[in-house]
Amino acid sequence: MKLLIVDDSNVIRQRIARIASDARLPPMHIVGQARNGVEAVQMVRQHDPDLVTLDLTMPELGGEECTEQMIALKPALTILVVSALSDKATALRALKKGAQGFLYKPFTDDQLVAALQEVMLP
Amino acid sequence: MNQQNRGFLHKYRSIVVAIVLFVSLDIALIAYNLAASYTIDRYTASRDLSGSMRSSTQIVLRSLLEMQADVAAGGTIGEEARTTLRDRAALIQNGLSALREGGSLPGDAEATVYAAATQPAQRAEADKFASLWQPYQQLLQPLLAADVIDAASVGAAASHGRRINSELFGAINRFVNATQDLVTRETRVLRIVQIVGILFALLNFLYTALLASRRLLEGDRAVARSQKQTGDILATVKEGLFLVTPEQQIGEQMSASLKDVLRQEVKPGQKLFDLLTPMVSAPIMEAARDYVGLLFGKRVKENLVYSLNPLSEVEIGGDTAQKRYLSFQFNRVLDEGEVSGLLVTVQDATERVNLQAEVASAKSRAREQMEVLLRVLNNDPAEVQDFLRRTESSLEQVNATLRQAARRSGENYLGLVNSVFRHVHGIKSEAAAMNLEMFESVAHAFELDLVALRDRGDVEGADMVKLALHLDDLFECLNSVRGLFERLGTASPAPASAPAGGESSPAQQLLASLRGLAKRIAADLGKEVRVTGDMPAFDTLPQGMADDLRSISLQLLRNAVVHGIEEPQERRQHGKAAGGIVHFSCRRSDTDGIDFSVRDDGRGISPRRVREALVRSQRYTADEVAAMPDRDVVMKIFEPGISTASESNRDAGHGAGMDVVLSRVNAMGARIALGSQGHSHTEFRIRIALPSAAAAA
Repeated sequence: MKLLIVDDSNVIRQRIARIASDARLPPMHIVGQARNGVEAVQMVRQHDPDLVTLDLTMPELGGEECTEQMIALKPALTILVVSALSDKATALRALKKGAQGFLYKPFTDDQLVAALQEVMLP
Repeated sequence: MNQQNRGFLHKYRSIVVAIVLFVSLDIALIAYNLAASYTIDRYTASRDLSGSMRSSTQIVLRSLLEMQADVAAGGTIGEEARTTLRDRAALIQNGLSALREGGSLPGDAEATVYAAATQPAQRAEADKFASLWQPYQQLLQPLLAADVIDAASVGAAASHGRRINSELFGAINRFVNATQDLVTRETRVLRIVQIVGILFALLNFLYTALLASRRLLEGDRAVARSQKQTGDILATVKEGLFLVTPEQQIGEQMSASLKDVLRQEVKPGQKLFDLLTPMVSAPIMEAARDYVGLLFGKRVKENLVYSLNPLSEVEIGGDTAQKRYLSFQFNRVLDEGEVSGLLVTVQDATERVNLQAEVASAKSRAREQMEVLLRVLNNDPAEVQDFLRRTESSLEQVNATLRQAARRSGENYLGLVNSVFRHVHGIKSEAAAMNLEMFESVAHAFELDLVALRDRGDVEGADMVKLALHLDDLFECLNSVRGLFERLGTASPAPASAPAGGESSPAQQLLASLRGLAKRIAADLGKEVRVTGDMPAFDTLPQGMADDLRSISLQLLRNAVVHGIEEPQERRQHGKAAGGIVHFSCRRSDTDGIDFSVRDDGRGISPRRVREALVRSQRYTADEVAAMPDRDVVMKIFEPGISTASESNRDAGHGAGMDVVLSRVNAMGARIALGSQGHSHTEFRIRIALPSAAAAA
């Protein structure tokens, strides 16, 4: 499973990367860590990930447009939105563009593992 | 084979078995019928053939006797007799072969098939007949072949024929009878089989019909039972339950509670969002459409979007008394992996929301009590007691004012509002000085309502009643802190006006409060402020006067820090130290009175800004303001509702502070003077004429 982590916070990216190696999850190969939407779209083009964890509030290209562009590049891409957003409407719009799930920040390790397991279900 | 078909076969297995049995029985019966009919046909043919052979033996003998008579009479033998003899002899000869071996007669156009004689009785008679016929037939041969027939040949044949006739006839006759018996027996067997078969088929049919009707009945009962159970559930369940179709219409079935929870009728087929429109705002409606749309799609994972449900807590009804909360939960209904609908669960969440609010409020109260505790532990309990006493006194006065307003209806209450404002503002200032956020925030909320009333101008009796709610809140705060205080066991009597030895003096206490307040406000505003004091006369003042000066001090300090002291950068630009100083002085005057002053080294009062504030207040026209001398303009800061702050917050902006100061000064019968210079200082001087008794105390 090729994973791309998209978040403007270095701390959150490192944390997701660490949790992604949890034994309860299938083996993850982290193909990239993007700091903003523009980098994320580039990395989808270069590395063809299967799964993306995506923050919504990022500089340069926001989560909603980023989702749209990533899905345009790879319609079968699985996207889990991980965001601290209190505005449900924005998250719903990102899901409308093609993301499959949503997880509130802050999250515990177990919550992220459960969300990744759930989002990878066929 | 999919699951549905398997289920169908399992359910109707007995009926299927019965039908298969029925069809198999029919086929077997038909096959047997065909076979038996064929056998009977062949036996019948054999019976008829042997019958013909039986009559032919008599015709052959009669023809021989006729031929013998013809020869004896010397006449010629007729061709007809000869042909008859030939045909009948051939029939017997060929018939015998067909009867014994089976098959057809040579030259038979219809190719009738005869049954071979298999029964012992038949075979015995056929053999007997053959043994009699062969010599007879040899005697007949010359008669059939020769053109001229001699009397001896005819005579020999005729006399042989006469001799064996009875035996020959008997043999073939018994053969006929034996064959007839076979036909009869086979026909009887066929009939019995047919009757039994039809009976079986009939029984089978009845069984199948019974089984089918029983299954139907069972099915109907099961449907009725499950319908009743569904009905019972829907009638009993407390939640509002209904299904939404992919067309977003409400389904036929819904729980009885639905209309109670929603407090309106719901019709099957009604559009979900038509139902929701009167309940929720447009943005929530938009989000709800997105959410429902996502659940009907296949892409999102249901468990990972619950938290985004915009209808998980919908506020219904604007009035406080009728305000309630509804919770709409949506769950996918799957049919062979496809979303065929959404199950909607509606609950009245009012209790839950209120409980959450209560828990939050309890937490906040606990935090506030902790504040008071810390305050008491960190400071002098007497100081807190003193604050509680002053606050109680202020609240009693506010209470009296509000009662007064209730009695005297019809007058303009603006004056009363200003009076209440001064008290509430005083409480807020003191609470802020003591860092008692609970009091400060309740007083602040009270103050905001008072500001709104004052700005509106035409205050009515009903408005005053609403203020009583805030008053109750403040009393509750007071009681809560007092209760806590008593539980701590620090409920010492209110301190006397003179300090007990060893404890901090009232002046020291006041300065400590002032330093605390200055520190907090300065931190909020990014300023640096130091409070200094020289107040030997303060400790000798009577209680009431000390309270008034304390209140004035807090207000003037607040003004000095908010308005007077500049930010560090601005101070440096004017060549001052980054931190400002507010100095309090309270000394006995030459004339046996008290001189109290508050001086800050800030930017001074700007007549220009006061002019702007006056115009902004709409109490004076721009022309009136322009005509005033600077001195008069500056003195206008003591009018209620005049504030130079550009925006209001808890520390400034309501234009109440100087009004509080002035009313206290007036209450003490004192005089206030104001001196200010731009970028240098502002100083308030209050001269209090001390009654001689008080001064001596």
